[in-house]
Amino acid sequence: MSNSIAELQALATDHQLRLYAAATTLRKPAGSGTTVGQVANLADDAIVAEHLHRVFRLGRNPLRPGKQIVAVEDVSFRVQRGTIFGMLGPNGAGKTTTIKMLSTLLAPSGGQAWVGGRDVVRDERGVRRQLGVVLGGDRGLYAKLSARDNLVYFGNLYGMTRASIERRADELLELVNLRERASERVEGFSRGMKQRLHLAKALLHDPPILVLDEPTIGLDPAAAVDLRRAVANLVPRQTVLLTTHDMHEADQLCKEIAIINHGRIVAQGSPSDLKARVAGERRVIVSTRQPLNGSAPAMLDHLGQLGGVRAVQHDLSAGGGSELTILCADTAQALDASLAAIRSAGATVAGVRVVEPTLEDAFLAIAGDRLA
Amino acid sequence: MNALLATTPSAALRTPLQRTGSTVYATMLATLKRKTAYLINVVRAPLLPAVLFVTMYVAYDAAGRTTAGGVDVAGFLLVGIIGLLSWEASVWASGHSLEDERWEGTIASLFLTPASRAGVIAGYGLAGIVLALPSAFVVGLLALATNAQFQVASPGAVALGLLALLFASLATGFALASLFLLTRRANLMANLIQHPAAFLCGFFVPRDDLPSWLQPLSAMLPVSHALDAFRLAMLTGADVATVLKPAGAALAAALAYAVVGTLGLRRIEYAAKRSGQLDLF
Repeated sequence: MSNSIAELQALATDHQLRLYAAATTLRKPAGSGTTVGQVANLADDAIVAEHLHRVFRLGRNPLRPGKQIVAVEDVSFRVQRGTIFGMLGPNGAGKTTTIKMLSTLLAPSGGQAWVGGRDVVRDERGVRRQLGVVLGGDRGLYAKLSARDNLVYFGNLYGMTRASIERRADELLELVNLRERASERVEGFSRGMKQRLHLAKALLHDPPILVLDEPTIGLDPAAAVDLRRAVANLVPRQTVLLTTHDMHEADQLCKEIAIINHGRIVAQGSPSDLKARVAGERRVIVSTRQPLNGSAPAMLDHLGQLGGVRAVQHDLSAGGGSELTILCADTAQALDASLAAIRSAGATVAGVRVVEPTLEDAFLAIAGDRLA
Repeated sequence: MNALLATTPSAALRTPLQRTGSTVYATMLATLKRKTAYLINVVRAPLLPAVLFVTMYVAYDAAGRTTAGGVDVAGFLLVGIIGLLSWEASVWASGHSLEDERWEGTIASLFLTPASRAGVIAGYGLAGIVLALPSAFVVGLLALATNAQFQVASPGAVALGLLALLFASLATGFALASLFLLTRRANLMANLIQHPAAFLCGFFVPRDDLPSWLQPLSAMLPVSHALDAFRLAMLTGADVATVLKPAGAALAAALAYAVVGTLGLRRIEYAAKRSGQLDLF
């Protein structure tokens, strides 16, 4: 039995889609060339991107074609329903371009993608009904309308009933702590307040899938924690695709992370998978009672030669002693040799700490770029 | 913000017609609120039409002319100004709607919704027409103060003329909206289109007085015919049958513009997404 994605889309609910996919072997639209044992995944996965590609052409003179910029190149990933999927990458890596393609704001130059089983090119409206999007930045709200008027207007654009809009607006304004300011114009809001209103707007029509583009940018720490908690509470009822620069946020929230750099996914896996890639690279921090001062350069040279040591850094500690940070290729070997060398140089070891690799270490090792 | 799961799900309107109607109405209300957020916006709006009316009236008077196109000058100019307001609503309200969203930074948010783009443009257009009403009222007072002579024999003919003007304005707006979506220089293009139309549509001088080579260009604009129909109904006592011809021409041209605009909008939206220009400003 062979059926097209379009026929699949005719099945009204996700539940039906799951049952149908489980019971049959299905194929993607003619010409896509891939059979869909993956269709079962189209039911299991809220978002599927396959070989997405996006090129921007600079200059519009047809006689003198401008330079081409490849923003996204062969990006493929799947976001399992009811999970939070993170996309990490430095500025200009292609995160926002990918998100814009998935949310129908930008046409892919190549590849295919489905959101909630709907093709992002062929069924844009179907995709939009299932998506709530928080785009990064200050814009996206009507500055001269109040918070409530913004929600009411967007509720109408999503085809909600008046009663439903009123009820949801009340609930969401309460949830994002804007009820007191609901009748004020958005132009007077702080960035954090706008960001919270963006989230309320994205949740207004109760979409099964949310795309959040750097949602905690510009928020104070308490508000960011609050928002992260809210995002964590969205699953498993909703699926979240999150882009962020904040490694801690990604580590805390995401079940799976894709690291994107220069338009390509350079690594993908759970936060622990990614950290495991640099597991050998623990940092050992050795504190001494006295400062090394003049002997520090020689000590650094010596430690750098030891087996299992990748790099060493010296700082003065707050307690008046020295702090040697040793990046280890082999922690056990490096630790033994380093402690012996420090002691033999006459220094008294005051403390030793082993720091496990963080997601940021993994990111920097994999992406090879500093975060902006 | 912890209890998001406890919120009640939303209910959706059932038919596409209901959804489009809701989009039109909500866009009109939101646009009216935005454009009247500052009182100065409301107060300043009638100034330019009023100054234009007075200037043209004085110019006709200085030339010793009391009629234009065979009708009283003040009445002729009043209807012309109403045509001008309608044209401005075409260019700057419905035509400029998507560019306005781009400028506001909300075009991405708007295009993320499944709402009918045509509904949004129509909502802007209707808001533009509502916002023009105080200007029409002020110019109407000036026309009365200058003893404008009206000759209305059939309210039906007046209604038909107004209806033709409304449709001509909205349909032209549709076509312009899709055109403006494709460019990042929509403001300049709007200016380019706005001013020649004042001449071509016969807002201040009769279209019959235009050079013959400009007549076909004038005839291509739905507002020209709608204005002819409205003038006939308001100033010559024409009945519905007489007004039907120019009104029909206006509606036919408006239909052509609406079809071009609606078909073009989809293609141009895709073109803007392909070129990556949709939300650039």
